[in-house]
Amino acid sequence: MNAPDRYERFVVPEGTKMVSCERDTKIINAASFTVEREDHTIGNIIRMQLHKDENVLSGGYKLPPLQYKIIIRIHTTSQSSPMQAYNQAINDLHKELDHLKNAFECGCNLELYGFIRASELYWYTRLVISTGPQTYVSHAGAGAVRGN
Amino acid sequence: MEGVSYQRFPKVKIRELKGDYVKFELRDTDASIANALRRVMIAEVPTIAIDLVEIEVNSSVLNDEFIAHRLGLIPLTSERAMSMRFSRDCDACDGDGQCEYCSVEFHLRAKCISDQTLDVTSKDLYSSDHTVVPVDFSDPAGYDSSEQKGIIIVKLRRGQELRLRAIARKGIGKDHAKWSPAATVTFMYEPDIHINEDLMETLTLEEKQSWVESSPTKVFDIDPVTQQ
Repeated sequence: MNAPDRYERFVVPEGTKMVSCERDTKIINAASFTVEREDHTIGNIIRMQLHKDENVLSGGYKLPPLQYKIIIRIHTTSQSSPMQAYNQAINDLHKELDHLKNAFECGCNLELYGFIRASELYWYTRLVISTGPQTYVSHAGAGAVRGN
Repeated sequence: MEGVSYQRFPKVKIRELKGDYVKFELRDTDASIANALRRVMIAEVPTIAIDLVEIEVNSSVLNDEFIAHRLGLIPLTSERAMSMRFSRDCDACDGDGQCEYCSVEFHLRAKCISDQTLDVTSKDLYSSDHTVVPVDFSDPAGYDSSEQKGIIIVKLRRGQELRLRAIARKGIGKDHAKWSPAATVTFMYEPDIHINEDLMETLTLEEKQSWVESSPTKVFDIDPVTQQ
C-alpha cells in the first residue's frame, strides 16, 4: 500500500533536476551534490575518482535509506573548488569508460575474427575431405557447404 | 584553475568468448569500475520480456497469475531491445503501451485432446515478430528429442485448455529480475606469483614434486623435459 512503484528506482520524474548542488554554509570549499535515481554503481566510481585528485581533501557518498538518490560530499583545498573537482572527475571517468569500450570492442572483434577464420578453416577441410579424390578447391565458407 | 587529468587507460584481454559466456582480463583500472560493470550487466542492460498477459481461457491446474508469472520469466531473444523504446516513453501508441515500436505480441493456444499429458512449453508461444522469440536452448546435435521441448509452462490433462495473449516489453533488471540478461557475473583479483628460480634449482626432483603437490588447488606443474 505504501510501497513506491518499481520504476521509481531509475526514472527521474518530470520537473526534477537530476543533479543539484548545495554549498556548505559552515565550511569553505565544501559542497554536496545530490544525484537523483542513482546508486552505488555511479557513487563508488565517482568517489574513487575523486580520491585520485590531489586537491580533494575528502570525498564520499551516501545513500539516504529508502530514498533513490545519492549525496556526494566533496571538500577541497583552496586551490580548487568542489564544482571543479566534480566536473573533472566526471569528465575523466567519461573518457576512461570510452577507452574501455573501445578496448573491449577491439578485443571482441579480434576474438570473433579468430573464431570466423577457425570455422572457415573447419568447413574448408570438411569440403576437401568429403569430395574425395577429385578435390575441387572452391572457396571456403558456408556457401560452399550449402551447395554440397 | 585548470585541473590535471587523472584518467586511467584500462586494458582488456579476452580469454574466452562463446555464445553465452565470456571471460576477460581487465587491467590498469580500479575495482570500482569492475564492480560497476558487474552491476550494470546484471541490472541495467535492457532486454525484452513478457509483461502483460490477457488470459481468455484457463482450465489448467495453475491459476492465472501463476501462469503469467512463469510467462514473464521466459527468456526472449532481445537483439531488438536496443532499438525499441520503453513503453512509458513511447509516444506513438495511445497510452496503453501496445504499439509496434514498444512491444511485441505473443499468443498461445493449447488444448489437450489425447489421454496423454500435454506439456505446454515455450515453443508453443507464437510471436508477432520473428526476431523476438523464446530462446531455443536445444543442442543442434540433439541426442534425445525429449530434451528439446523448450521450457515447460504448464501441463494439461484431457479436456483442459489454455488460451492467452501476451505483450512483451523492454525493461531493465532493476525493475524486475525477468529483464536481467545475465545469469552470473563475477570478478576476482588474480594473484601474481613469482617463483625464485635460483632457489628452485637447489631442490631435488622429489622435493619439487612435493612442493607442486602441496598447493591445495592445482596451480603448479613440473615440465618433464626441463624439470622446472
